[in-house]
Order: sequence, then C-alpha cells, then structure tokens
Amino acid sequence: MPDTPPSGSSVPLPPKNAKLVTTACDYCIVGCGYKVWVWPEGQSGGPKAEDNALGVDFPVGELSGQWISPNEHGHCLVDGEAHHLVVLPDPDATVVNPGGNHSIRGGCLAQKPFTPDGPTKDRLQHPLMRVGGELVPVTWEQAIDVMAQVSRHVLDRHGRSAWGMKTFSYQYFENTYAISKLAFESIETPAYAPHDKPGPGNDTAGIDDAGIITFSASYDDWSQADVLFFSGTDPYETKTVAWTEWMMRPGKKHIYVLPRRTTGVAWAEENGGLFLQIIPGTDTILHLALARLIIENGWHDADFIAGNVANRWEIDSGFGRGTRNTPWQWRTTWGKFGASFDEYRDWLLSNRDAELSHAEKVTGIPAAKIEAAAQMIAKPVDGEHPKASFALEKGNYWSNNYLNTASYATLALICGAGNRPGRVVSRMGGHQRGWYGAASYPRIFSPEKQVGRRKKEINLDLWVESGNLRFAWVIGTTWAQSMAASQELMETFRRSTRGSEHQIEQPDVDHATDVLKQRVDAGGMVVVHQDIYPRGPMGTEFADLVLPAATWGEEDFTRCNGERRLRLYSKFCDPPGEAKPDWWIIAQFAQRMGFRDYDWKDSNDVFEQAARFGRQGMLNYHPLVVYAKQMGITGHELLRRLGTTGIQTPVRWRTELTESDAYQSYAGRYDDPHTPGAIVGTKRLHDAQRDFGEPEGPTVHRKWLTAFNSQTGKGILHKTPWSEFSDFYERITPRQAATPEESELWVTMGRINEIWQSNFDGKRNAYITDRWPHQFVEIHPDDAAPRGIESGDLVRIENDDVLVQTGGFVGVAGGSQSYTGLEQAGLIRISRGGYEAVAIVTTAIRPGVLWSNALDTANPPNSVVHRVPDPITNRYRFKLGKGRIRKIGESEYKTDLRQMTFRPRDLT
Amino acid sequence: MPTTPSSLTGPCLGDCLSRRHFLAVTGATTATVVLGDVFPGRVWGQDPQTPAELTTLSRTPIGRLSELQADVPVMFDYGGENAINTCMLVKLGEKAGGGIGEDQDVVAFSSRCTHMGGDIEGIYNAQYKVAGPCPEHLTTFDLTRHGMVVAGHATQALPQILLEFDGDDIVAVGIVGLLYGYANNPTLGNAPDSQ
Repeated sequence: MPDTPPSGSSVPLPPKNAKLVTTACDYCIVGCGYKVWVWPEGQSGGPKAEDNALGVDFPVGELSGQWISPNEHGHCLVDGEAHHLVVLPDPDATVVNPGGNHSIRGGCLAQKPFTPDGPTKDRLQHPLMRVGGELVPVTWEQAIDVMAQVSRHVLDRHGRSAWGMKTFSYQYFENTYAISKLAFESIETPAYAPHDKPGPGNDTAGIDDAGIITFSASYDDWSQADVLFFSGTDPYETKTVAWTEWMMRPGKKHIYVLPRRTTGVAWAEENGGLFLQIIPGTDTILHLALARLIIENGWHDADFIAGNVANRWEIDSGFGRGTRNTPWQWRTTWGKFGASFDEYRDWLLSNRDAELSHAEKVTGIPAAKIEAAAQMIAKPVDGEHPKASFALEKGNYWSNNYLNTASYATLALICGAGNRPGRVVSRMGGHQRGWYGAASYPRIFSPEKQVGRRKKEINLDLWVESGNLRFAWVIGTTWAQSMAASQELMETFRRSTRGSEHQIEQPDVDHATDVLKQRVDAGGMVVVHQDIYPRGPMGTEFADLVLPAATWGEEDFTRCNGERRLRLYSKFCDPPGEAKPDWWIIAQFAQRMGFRDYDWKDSNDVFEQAARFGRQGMLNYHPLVVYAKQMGITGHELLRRLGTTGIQTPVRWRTELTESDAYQSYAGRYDDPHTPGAIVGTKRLHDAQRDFGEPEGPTVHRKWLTAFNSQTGKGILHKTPWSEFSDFYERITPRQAATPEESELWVTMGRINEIWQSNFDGKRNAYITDRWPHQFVEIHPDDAAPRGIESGDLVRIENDDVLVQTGGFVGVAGGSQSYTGLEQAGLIRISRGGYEAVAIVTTAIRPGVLWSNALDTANPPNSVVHRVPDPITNRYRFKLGKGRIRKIGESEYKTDLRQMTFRPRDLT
Repeated sequence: MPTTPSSLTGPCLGDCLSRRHFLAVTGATTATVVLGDVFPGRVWGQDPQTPAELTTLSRTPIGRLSELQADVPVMFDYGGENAINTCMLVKLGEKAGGGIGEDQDVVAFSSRCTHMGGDIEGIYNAQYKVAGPCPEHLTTFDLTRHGMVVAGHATQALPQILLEFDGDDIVAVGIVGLLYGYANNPTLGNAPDSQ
C-alpha cells in the first residue's frame, strides 16, 4: 500500500514483510517487553488483518494492546536508508507487562532512535576535541591516541588514583563489563564512582547486612502479598507497570511512607490502605516505633524468627578471629548494630526514640496512623500473620542511608518477611540491573578508611574537590547535577579544566597530548565525556574530548530487570554517524594502552566472556552460554529465542526440569530437543521452600538460593541508634526566622511518572516537554500564601547554608568521622546553591516541605543538598536539602493553556 | 492541499472564528494544517511548524448550548458507533484551550483513554476539570489544557473534538489527535459504520 504521511491523526501500519525484533524498554527497572517492527519508508500496511504485520483488523478494541499511538511510531535509519519504526509494548507478553501494558516513558520509545532531521538530530556523531575552546571533529584514532598518551602520563607520574571514571552502572552488561575490566582489572584504580553515588559499594547496606539480596523477589511475589509497605517510593510514578500490573489489585492494602501524596497513595487510601506523611529524614524513628508496637503486642512472627533470624553466636560465627575489615563484617559484628532478637527487643523497649509519642512528634505522623500501620503489617488475623511485603527506594535510603535501611530490614524480618511468596523485602529499583563486574573494586587502594583497619570505598567528589583527580572519563551520566552541592562541584570542574592556562589550540595529537600533560602536572584535570547527546556542562563546557556512544536499538545488548529477568535488547537501526558502543570504545583505548584480552569482535563476544566472571552472583547466566555453545549458537542468539520473556537469573542447567509449568513459564526456560538437559530461570532467591536438587553441569548453587545471604544463612537484625545521625539532622533542619521569606523549608525531591531520569530523550519529544516544560516545585498552600506564591509563578529556591565536607578521608580516632567530629576538625565548609522552578501549590505536599524533580539538569535541586555523606556508608542524604523560596515572576505556563498543567495528581 | 489561512497563525485559544473560517475554506474531510498554530502544544515529537493532519468529519450536532449544564458531561458518538467512538461534551465553567462559547469553556474529547483504551465515559472530576482516573491504570487528563495527561501512561493527549455553534446547536466538526484504536481517524470514507 502507499505510504501514509505520519501525523497526529494517523499512524502507518507495519506491512506484512516488516522486520520484527524483540527488545525491552531502555528506561526503568521494570523493563517491559517490546516488539519492534522496521520497514522502508514508502511502504505501509493496511487496516485489514491480512494486510498488516500485527495480523489484526483496525480499529482495534479496548485493552487489545495492539493500538499504535502516534508516539509509538517513529523513524530511523537502517543501512543508511530511511525506515519506519513501530515500538509497541508486546501484546503477547505473559510476564512483566502482560497484554502490552506500559508506561508513558516506554510508550514513547519510538521517538528515541536517531534520524538526521528529526528531534534526535543533535545526537553525537563524531569524536570531538576542544580546540581553541570549540569542539571540533577528530578521528577515533586521534581521540584514542590523545587519551592513551595522557593516561599513561597520569598513571606514571601521578599514580593510579589520579586516573578515574564516573560511569553509568546500568547501561547493559557488555558495556559495564568492559568498563569494570578497564578500571578495576587493567588500571586498578580506586577512583571510580557509579552515576548515582560518590563511590562504589552498597546502595542499601542495611538491607544487605540483614542478609537480604535486594532484588531477590519476583513481581509475582509482590502480587501475592496482602499488605504492601512502601518506604520512600510510589512505584506508580517510577516503576509503573510493576505497580499497575502486579500491585494495584483489589483487596490489597498499601501503606505509603512519603512526604507527598501521589497517585498511588490516593489509590491506597481509596482501597483501605494508609498514608504516613512523614517529615523528611525521620524514617528510622518510624521503623523503631512500629517495631516496638509489634513486639509489645506480641504480633511479631516468633516462629519465623526462631528459624530464620541469627542469634548472637551465629552473628559472630566465623568472624571472631578475622580481620573484620570489610564493611559488612565490621558493621554486623561491631556490637553497635548487629543483634539477636532478644538483644534487639531489650534495646528497643528501653529506647526512648522508639516510644510512640516521641515518634509522633519527630515523624509528624499521627500516633493513631502509626498504630494502624503496625496492626496492618503484623497483627495476626484468625491466628495467621498477614502476608506483608516491604518495598523501599530512594526516599528511604537517600535520606539516612544506613539507619533507615537497617531499621527497615529489621522491621520486615520481625514481621516474617524476606523469603516467601507474598512476604518479600526488596528495593523496587531505579535503573535496570545492567552492571556486570569483570573484577572487584580495589578497595585496598582506596584513600578512605573508617577508624581501625576498616577500608572504605572512595568518595570521588571529595577526591576531585581536593585536587587529586587528574584524568576523568565520564560515561553516560550528568556528574555535577547528579551529585550533592551541584553548583560547587561544577565550579571545581570549571576551575580545573577551563580555568587552566593549558588549553589545546591546534587539532594535532602531539600538541594536544603535550598541553594536557602540562595541565595535569600543573594540578589541573583532563575530562573525557562519552555520551549519546551533548550534555551540559560536563560534555559541552568542561570536556577536552567528547566521544559519541551507540545506545539502545543500535547494538545487541543484554541486562536484567528488577526481578533478574535477562533479555536481549536487539539492534534494529543504525547508530548515528561514527558513534560506537561503549564496550568498543573501551576496547580501543585498552588495546592502545597495551592491556590484554580486549580483542572482542562483537558484543556477543563480550557477553560470553563476561559470563565467566558472574558465576557467583545473582545475575549468573553462564549456564545459558554453555547451553548455547552445546546447541552450536551464540549466547545472544539463544537469548533472542527467549524473546520478551527472557530468563530469570541465576540461570540453572538441569538434566531434567522438576519445576512446575507455571514456574518454568514465569522464570523462563529453554529445552532444545537435540541438546542434553535444559536451562531454567530462578524466580525467587532465599527460597527455603524450594528443592533445587543437586547443582548439575555449569549450575552454581550459592547458599542464598535457599537461605539468607549472611554468614550463617539467617537474617540479621540490627539496632539503629538515632545518635549515629542526630547531630547532622539537627544541624540541617530548616531554620525558622521572623518572616516566612527568611524561614527555611525542607527541599526534597523525587521522580515524576512522565519523565525518565534526566529527561535526556523526553526533552527531545514535544509531547513530554509540553507536559513538563520546566523544573517545578510543589509547595503547600500554607507555605505558599504567606510568600505570595501561586501556581504558575516562577520561584527561586536558595540555600546559603550548604554543608560541604572538605576532608576526613582517614578515620583515626573514634567519632572523628561523625558530623560533629568533622565540624570540630574544621572539615566542613559552608557554601551556597540555588535553582529556579515553576511553583505548583498543592495540598499533596506536606507543609514545611518543598518537592522538585530530582534530576532537572538545568535546575538541579541537588544544588541545595549538603555534600556530607553518611559516614557509615559514604552515601549522600540527597533527599534532605533545604532552602528559602521566593517568587521572582510569573511563568508563561500560568496562563498559557498549551503547556504544563497544575491539576492535582492524587485524584480518585 | 490547502494552505493555512493567515487567520490561523495567531493564538487559537478560544478563537472559534478562525477555525470556522478555516473549515469553511477547506470543505475537505482531511486537511493539512500547521498544527502548532491550530492547536499549539498538540504536536507529536515534531517541530511545531510541521504540517499535520486535522481530520474533519461531517458536521454532527451533538447538543444544545441552552441545555448544557455546567460540569455535566454529555456523551455522544463521533466518527462511528463503535464503543471506542464515544466522546464527552462538557461545559467546564472555566476557560479552556479550544473551548467555545462566551466563556470559552465548552469542549469535547474522546472518552477512550489513550493508554490502552480504557473506558472513561462520564468519569469527570468537576472540581479540577479532569477526565479520569481511567479505571484501568489511573491516567488523568486536563480538559482545560487540550486533554494533556495530568498523571499517567497515555502516550497521546486525549483527542479533542473541534466544536462550532450553529445557532444554539453545538456541532462537532473534526478531531485533533488520533482516536484510540484507529490507525487512521474515521472519516466519511473509513468510519466503521460506513463500511
């Protein structure tokens, strides 16, 4: 049929001969399955079933999953030729997003691929070098040559710790394997940090220390809970389909602990659940009060605790004579935290912080609601404990990292959660699980340690701030805006790069190399930024070299979602210009440096090599690669055959499958009739009720398959003394002044459904930018009125009291790394920060609290966040910024009916 | 294809005369217009100046202004009689993008959620002028701002039905946006009830 011009009132249908591949969403942790049809421009299918690739008659009916919205159709290049593209949530999916459910983010994926004249035309296409202040194209060879020569100089002259990387931790196994192989195996640098934190290590140390692997549950496990306790997240906003498909079910009671009423909260309250509208940063006190109520009333799951929770001897077993120099060992065995149930109960019942009246005052949550929540998660009904599951995310662990996560895990364990269907504990996740480590982080070289022989991972921002980093390779992240005290960090980068007198003036390798060597020797820094778009300010202003990366749809990639589901993200279009996958770029550099084993011929090569280094982990897919080899195909090819279902890691090979059909079809399986045995996925970790049989062939059975991930296989309770946090919390609590204008408010932040991450793709899609054209801030009417602020006003939020830690790498005396200790040692500097936003006046937000989009790169709220990490875990308290807010004008959106809306999001 | 009349290049908000003029000029079932001018903010991943299609249908009287009560939606079928052709006419009592009438507050929209086609017929929040939440996955749409998603998963704003007055009659004359379920908006030629 003739081509139909795409527009807002029609979409071309894929013709019968359109090429079909499967993939999963590039964005959130849930990773919905998608089908992609690609066909040349100039052709179109017809509305009759026999005339289109979907095989259905148009118009299609409700909930068919087969409608193609205008945003689900796009354009791309295939072998240089213009093609149509339809990216449709898989209507045939039976897992993750059954029936083609999807989020607004994934539903716009068709707008992502590159076209030379479309909204993504500004994709990076060539390596660039900053010459005379301007970025000019250079060849890959030239760019790699300069990087390698300068790197060699930095390593020889300034040491491995002066050479660092700041990269995504999630953007596909093939790339992160290459990154970690370079950083940790070849260079062995401790100067590394993932995209969302100042250094490597646990995200939720308290959950890990309890023995719970944070992505141990499957989405089906959540669907079997009676009660879901959400801490610091509304998955509706950010893990959408996990929520709409597996959690938003009649009869389920949801409890939300958030400072802000969201869509999910509205649904919860409508369906018998609870909203605990908390004062930011006080979750630990809430958890203690809940635990105390439960234990006082005898609602704790005593049978579960007796069989599954470690006693004192078990906590100490195996570690009494060891060095206890890894973070989890010393935290667990220190005596300050790890506790048997009896020790925990005695500590809790004598702890004033856990008293209900105190908790009401500190958390701002009415005592009656705390009592109701305790009953809901623990009080037996007809002698049965409720099936309660516990889900947490960044509102919990980015406000008080260790104490919040440890107290949350303890609360869950005493309620009997952790390892059974409907009774699970997990992060809900942000990005997908795309890290595949080739080697361990070389903690031994880290400049940081706790008191005693307790090595700690680096705080890379502090390392930069103190002038120790001379070469920074930044991959796929907006470093400055993503980290605390953003404006300060930007200034440091600007000073050490563009502020240097040593600037490249000619597009010549020898000249560039000489100049950059002079710069690093003079105390400056060289920055390489590798990304898909020009990203400010790191890529556009500070970088000396900018490298173009290929991304989703432009290469065969793999990774897991939030239930460890491994899938192939198929290539279906050309990368722009000379853009290359990150693993390829790493390989070019490593080979130029003379490092071994980087001679991969394609991404499957990397995938298969990486398999050998993940055999001990929860993302182990090595048996799949072995099975594929026996079949005579590649690992990627076998994964391609598993489509959008994929297979849940760890993958197991068995001579005969004994799992039920339902288990197999959920977890994923492949049984080739001509190959001995079969492979099957793993639905749940810590699955004590399942008989996994003997490990066969390449299968690895770690103890966490059937037990908790602690030294004894039991869950570990933790005391969480508020005094570990209270000095910092008191110091950063907003200060009240004589006038509202001078009074400070909490500034906290989070994600909004319609925007993925830094909105790097969404800001190139008018549909998304119409909805959210600008950073915004939610403010309660009680705070807005006295300041004369109305919805649609342009406001400025400023903090002249941003705390920045300036030293304290090495703890020597007890207490020296606490906030008080740092302040007394003169290691806290006071700086400033601010950002602009469009005000949304709403009762959804708690009085005294402002709420913004966490990662608006033009107006980052991290500017008003203190750069003083949790001393126990080196994690920032991103959610605990503060500032004064004032009106600076009216935005056009106040009256313009075309963009932005100020309607409440919590309607029922 | 007809060119865009110059009267359409100004602000469109409640500018019913411009649209009437445009429709009178074209007299076609579909026409290419600079959609960014007709309905600013309703352009899908394209430059606002990109020509896009506005579907015009037979002029269908859907109600009388004198009988319309504020905040009481009136349902009507448009472009066919399938379940997915149900639309909602409502007098919002508040100025709205594309609204007609003295207060520019009379608007009409499709009643099928553009996420997965959930039925939002009659689900209308009078206080906030919002359609939804869709019972399937809770998407909401702001009817004062061209059916923009307030919160949720739809990958297109709620299709807006262009309205005109013919005396007291409210007449539906076209659709901006793609109706849920369709690959091409129903026109006189391809509406299901005409096949």
